[in-house]
Amino acid sequence: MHFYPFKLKAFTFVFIFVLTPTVMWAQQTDSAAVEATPAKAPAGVPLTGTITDADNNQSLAGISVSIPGFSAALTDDNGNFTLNVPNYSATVTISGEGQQTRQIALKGRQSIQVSVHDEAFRSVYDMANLPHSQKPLNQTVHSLASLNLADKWQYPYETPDNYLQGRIAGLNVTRRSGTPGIGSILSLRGINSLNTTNQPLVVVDGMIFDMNDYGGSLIGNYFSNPLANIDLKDVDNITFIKDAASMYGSKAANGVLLITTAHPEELTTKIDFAVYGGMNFRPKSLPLLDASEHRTYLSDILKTRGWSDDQIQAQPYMNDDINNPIYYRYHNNKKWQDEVLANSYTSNYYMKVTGGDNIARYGLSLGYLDQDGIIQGTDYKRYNTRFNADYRMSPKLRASSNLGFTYNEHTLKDQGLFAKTNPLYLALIKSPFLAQNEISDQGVVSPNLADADIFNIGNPRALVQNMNARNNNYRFFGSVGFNYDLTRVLKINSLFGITYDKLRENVFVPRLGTSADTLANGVAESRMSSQVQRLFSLYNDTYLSYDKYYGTDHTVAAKLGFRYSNNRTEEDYGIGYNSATDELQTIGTGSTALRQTGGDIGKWTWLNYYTTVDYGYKSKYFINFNLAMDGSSRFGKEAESGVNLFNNSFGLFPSLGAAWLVSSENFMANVNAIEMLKLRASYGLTGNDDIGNYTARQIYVSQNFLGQQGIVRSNIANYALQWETHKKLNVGFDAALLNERVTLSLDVYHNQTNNMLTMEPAGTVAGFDFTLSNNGGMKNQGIELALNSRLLNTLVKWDAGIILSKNRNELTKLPGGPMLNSIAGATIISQVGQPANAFYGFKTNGVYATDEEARTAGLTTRLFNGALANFQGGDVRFINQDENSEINDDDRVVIGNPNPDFTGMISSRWQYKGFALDAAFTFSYGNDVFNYTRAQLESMQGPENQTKLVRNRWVADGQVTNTPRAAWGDPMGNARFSDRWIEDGSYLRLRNLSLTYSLPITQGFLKSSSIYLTGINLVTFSKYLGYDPEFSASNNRLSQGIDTTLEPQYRSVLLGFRLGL
Amino acid sequence: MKKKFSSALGRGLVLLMVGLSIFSCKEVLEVEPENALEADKFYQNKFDADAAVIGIYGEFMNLAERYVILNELRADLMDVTANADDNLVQLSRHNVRPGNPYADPKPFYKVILLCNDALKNFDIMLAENKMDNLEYSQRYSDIAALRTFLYMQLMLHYSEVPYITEPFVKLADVQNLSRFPRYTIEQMVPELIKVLEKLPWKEEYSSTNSLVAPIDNYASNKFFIPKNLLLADLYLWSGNYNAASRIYKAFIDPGDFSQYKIAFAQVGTSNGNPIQDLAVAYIRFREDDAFSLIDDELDGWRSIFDRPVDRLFNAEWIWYLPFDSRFLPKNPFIDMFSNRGGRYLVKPSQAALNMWDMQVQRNGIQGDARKLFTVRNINGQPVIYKYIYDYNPLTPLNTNGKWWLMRAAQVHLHFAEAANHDDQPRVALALLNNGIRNIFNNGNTDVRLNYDTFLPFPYNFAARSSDAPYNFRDPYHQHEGIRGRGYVTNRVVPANMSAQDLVKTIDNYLVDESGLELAYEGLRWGELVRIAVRRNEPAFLADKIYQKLVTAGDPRADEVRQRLMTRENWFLPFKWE
Repeated sequence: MHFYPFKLKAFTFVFIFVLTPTVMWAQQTDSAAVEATPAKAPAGVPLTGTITDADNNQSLAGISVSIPGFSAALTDDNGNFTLNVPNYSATVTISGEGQQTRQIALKGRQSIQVSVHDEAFRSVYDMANLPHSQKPLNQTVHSLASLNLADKWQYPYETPDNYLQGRIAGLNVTRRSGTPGIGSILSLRGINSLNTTNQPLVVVDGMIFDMNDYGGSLIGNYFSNPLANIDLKDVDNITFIKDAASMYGSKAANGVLLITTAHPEELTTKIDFAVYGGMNFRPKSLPLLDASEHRTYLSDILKTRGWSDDQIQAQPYMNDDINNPIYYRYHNNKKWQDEVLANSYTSNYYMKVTGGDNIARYGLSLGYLDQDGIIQGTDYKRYNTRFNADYRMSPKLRASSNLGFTYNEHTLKDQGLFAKTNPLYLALIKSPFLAQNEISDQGVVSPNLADADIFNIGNPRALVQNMNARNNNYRFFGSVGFNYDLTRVLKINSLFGITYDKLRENVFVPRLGTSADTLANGVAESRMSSQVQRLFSLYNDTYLSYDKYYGTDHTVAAKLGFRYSNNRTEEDYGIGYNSATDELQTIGTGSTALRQTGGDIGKWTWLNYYTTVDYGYKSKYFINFNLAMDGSSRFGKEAESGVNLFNNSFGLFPSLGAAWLVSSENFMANVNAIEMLKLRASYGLTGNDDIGNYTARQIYVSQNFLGQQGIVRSNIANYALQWETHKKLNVGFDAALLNERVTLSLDVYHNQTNNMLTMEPAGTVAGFDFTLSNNGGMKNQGIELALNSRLLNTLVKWDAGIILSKNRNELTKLPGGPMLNSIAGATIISQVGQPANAFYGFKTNGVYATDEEARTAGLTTRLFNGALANFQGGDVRFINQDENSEINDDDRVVIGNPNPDFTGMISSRWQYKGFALDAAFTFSYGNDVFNYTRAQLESMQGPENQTKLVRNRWVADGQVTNTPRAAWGDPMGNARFSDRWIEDGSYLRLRNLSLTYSLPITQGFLKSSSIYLTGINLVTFSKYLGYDPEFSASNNRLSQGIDTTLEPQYRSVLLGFRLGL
Repeated sequence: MKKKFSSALGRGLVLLMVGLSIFSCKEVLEVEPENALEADKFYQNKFDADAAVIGIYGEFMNLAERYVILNELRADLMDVTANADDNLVQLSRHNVRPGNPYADPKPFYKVILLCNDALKNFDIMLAENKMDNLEYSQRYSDIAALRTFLYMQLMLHYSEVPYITEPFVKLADVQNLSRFPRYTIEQMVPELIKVLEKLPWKEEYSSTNSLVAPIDNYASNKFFIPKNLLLADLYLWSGNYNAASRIYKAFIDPGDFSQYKIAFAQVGTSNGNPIQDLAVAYIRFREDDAFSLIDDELDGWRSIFDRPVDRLFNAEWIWYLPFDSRFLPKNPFIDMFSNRGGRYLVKPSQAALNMWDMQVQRNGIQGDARKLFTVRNINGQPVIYKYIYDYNPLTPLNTNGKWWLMRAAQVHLHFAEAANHDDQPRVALALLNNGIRNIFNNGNTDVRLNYDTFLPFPYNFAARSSDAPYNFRDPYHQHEGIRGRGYVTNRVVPANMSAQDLVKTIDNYLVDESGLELAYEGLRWGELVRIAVRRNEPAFLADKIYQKLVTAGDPRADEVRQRLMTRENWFLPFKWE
């Protein structure tokens, strides 16, 4: 596609600047044309037919049968109708209250028998929400998934991102941890970029919903999840565009997630009220050494420290004399995990009022959520409100507003790699013979918590009880849209919106019960910090839309518009240490000498001109063309592959899609089994603009010299720095068989990332470590399947479905050779020809049974001081990959791939009268996981408690075992990053199980009522040895599959009740 | 009415759309960063230029650890402790493998880039009248000299050094980095001399310059590089000894009797307090008692490294940079040297300890007293102490300290070296031993005919101190020489030595003295390389390192010596990526 810039440049100019006046001109002629049309009586040929209910075969009355823009009729009491149609290859639309809307291609038939499903039926004729338009799924050309969230009332605690898990083929949703509200890391069709975001673009009610993280959190492994601000119960539809969504230009590289919140459809006043309560169940404890086993282990490991038996026996924890005053302090048998993990409770209340009149319709919802975590002392509270309204201000002018305000209060603990403050991690490594409270010489337990112990390991209870980590944030996300009919076919629309997001964090780590941290110029006993983050963005989307039927065969829908967003972020933080007592928890009470402050400000603007043209012929052939021209303050002025406009470089993003509704062809008239078959293909360009705010300019930053501030260069500017270009090719088909009892979608895609942002090592003499350029490439290929079927359609209805995705990622271009990243002791390699994020470490083959065997192998490794040492009995047999006999970094190979071979979901729904039972199994197959937690708990290099496995450790020459010897400080590197710690992360999980009972409506004022009994994560099948195989320790796509001791996923059960008034 | 309103609104929307889409695009995409400065907003006036200078020195501070480690651990006076990691061991043993972070020249080039960027923009500012000539020449010269210093460092540690003087502005500038010339020591020295000779301002910043102001209570005048002395040092490298001497002499001439003049010990009192000095001395009348050695924060040789920035401090120190625990970067020396609160990574080599021990003091006590101030025995371990006098392990939060860069003793020793090669061995010996007054004492009782070199500039020293019959206080009357001030006995040269041997002998004495006096101040490797290159005698350098290793009982001493007999092996591998 190297030819496109030149041609498209010319084309775009023509299109944008020439077409604008043309459209204006068209406005006048068209109004004349439209007024002339209705006077004519519809000509054509008669069509007759009967419409029945698919569930019970009874005829349906009052169903509308129409050919839009041509004719319309209603069915009589027997379900019969007669309609004038232009010819017998037309397509009629059938719709009725409580029933699905569907299209029927006549295919030469003069009479049709149609059985329609109810509204809730997931159908190929459902409307998909596309940017600025709605379209029945059977007419779309994109690869997309549309969810109507029929089951949203069953899952009150799911954030929208978690809800999507398994439901959209190609979207890999990994929940970050079990922390309530923390959400998921989403990636569509693999890793698309090394250094920029892999997060899909989220558009809520037509406005971009900012999903970025500005400055991170002060709380270990916490992510403030923007999607948690959206209550699923407010959402009407979620549509995911998976192929080239070029209308969003340089923001659409990772797909576009369109969320539409519910707008009232009826005028009558309705009240929906729901209340839920539930319980979360803590996971099973990991098997650790008990008190006596740990004592034995200690005596062993201390010997390797060079301590004599006398020295070891003199340790207080080795004392067995009950008369010794320290006896009681070291003779407990504590199960520390039980002191941190606990069952917890959740509750949720929700109320929604809708109603209105002919002029204005409104919907107001309020919600309150209180969800406790399974780590004690953590919880999540959410207060959400939403006001959606539509106004008909005049026959030609309509307006709508979508205002959402959500306030979140999170009480948290550190998680992940915060070895001194992660209570869960401390509970694992803390010796079981120690007690949580002070114990007197007589064995009397004091109410005071014990301080950090003799091994300098903190007391997990001190963190659970006294660590104070709060994240309070709110987001106002509101927009007002206007829609003005210039003529019947030409409309002008404009949406103005603002996002105001504010986050405040306060963290306090107490002095008592924690081990101190070492700072550059001090020792941190107690730690306190605060930060404020703010995002303010303005958004405008204005466009002209043109919709017209030309005759009965041609439909044209075109849009021409622009989007603008202006963003400003600010982050300020302060860190303090060592207040006088643990009661004083603000930064100001800390030591002045150690106080630190910092912050950042980011600004960027984005401008996107776009046009979309949809053309349909005979309701059988569909073509969609998109073109966006994107400018951004982030792009370099000399970006080469763009067009130059207003002294800025603009990126061009065209896409073309086509679909052929084969099933509407006359030759398909007799193939009754095939209700719908659509072939589609699309190809296009999207971009990624996440290249840093000022990276394309030469900038200077502050540099201190003593207390004085100077200014220094901070980069070598790349004035040609530009968006990444993502080429997306997608071919697929959608089919519905046997009157939609089976629906099937299959997609095959090939995505190529070009101009991928790379951080190339700048030569030594360049003065900087890296330069940024668009020199990388990546490729993703995959196949996706979504299959749904109604297996039983009797009194008992049974729907079952499977969603399956497979993706293969390959880095195709990376200048400067393989890139290595390090996280949690793991090395991750990105190299050409391989997946972008492979685990890179040592291969092992058991443990040397004897010194003799080790000597024969003749391998050495380098000690800390540079001396070469020979492996001996009890050391790990590392596989030597190169010529020399030294085990060093050159012996590392790829030892795992964290990307799954398959992900997906198997779902099932049974319905019987008022009962419905939904079950969904999610699975991930073939992904490797680095169990960092286990690597710590089986490293046998210090006094920390270990897993039961270390009982099998090598202790005597000749012992055959696969667990190496204990060695203080691990001089031989037996615990280094190797395949010992890589595990299969595959799992199959009963993700959701929900029983719903809808009560028969009894009273006049009570319109509906339902009871929900829902279980989440009820059963998980996995060989993984940690708490749970699903986690994401980082927002970076490259560092997935690393278990850094996060709050695990847990089971929960809840009961809910919903009333409709 | 309503219709009218709405159609007006509709038209308004159309106008808005057209308006927004065309008029504002240009401005819309212009965003000015607030946490950084765009290139065209910088270098607008002399305060911007000051900010550039300050920023560069701030960045330069990060090189302190590297400067000391590379120049001392690779030489003969410093050795690793058991705590040192492999990277340090490699440096000490001269078998540096790729990936050793200390061998990475990048940090030097980072500062060089900043210098190049400032220099180019200073030129532009001058051309655009954003700075006047005086403002320009002082700042330009300072930064150009600092860059020269950095290249001098690079040339000492890497055999061929890419010489870059342009700032990299565009990505393309760094894409063909091999286009720059690469210089060996012999090629680099003339290049650097050219730069320094052309500097428009070779003195300190003038006192009215806005950069000369206290920074956090530290007077800033000693923070900036002494440009002239750097040039003189380069003349030493290039063999232009007379030119070097002229600079050294001109530098130490002005000021009072003690300013940069290696003054003798003061024995009197002033207002009942002993008059302070910087010389090794004993309590008066107890000179034979080893325990009466003056070991004081404010008096004696130790106080060179321990005293606050006062008159005497300024009489010795020419260039230093302070580390303050309130500000980054953190003082790296405590971690490096201290065994109480630091990691104690390096220590004095046994060879160095022996070297001091072999000296004899003027009172007959065996061993150089300067050792006791340079190296302290803490908890049974020898600890390099010059850098950590300000540090108290009981107050670990206070990590104040100083990076020692240049002092009067160094100037005198280099001056002596220049004089020695400029046919003035007596002047050299006077500077090295116990001063002009003693060496140029011709016995003449007429004080006017004695205590003077009676030589033309730059070797004209007058050292008379007489009350009657003539009242003389010549500028160098307090001059004591390095060994004199160090209270050790003179170096003697055999009377009938050939001129060539004499020069060589004095040179050897000077190198040894530099070790005794200036150990661990970051000069050692440079001295060894300069002499070895000048004599074209790799053995000179190889033997010194051999001595260190063999004295420490390192079995690889022979192997290392063998390697160092080839000049290429003196240098670190230059890491290009």
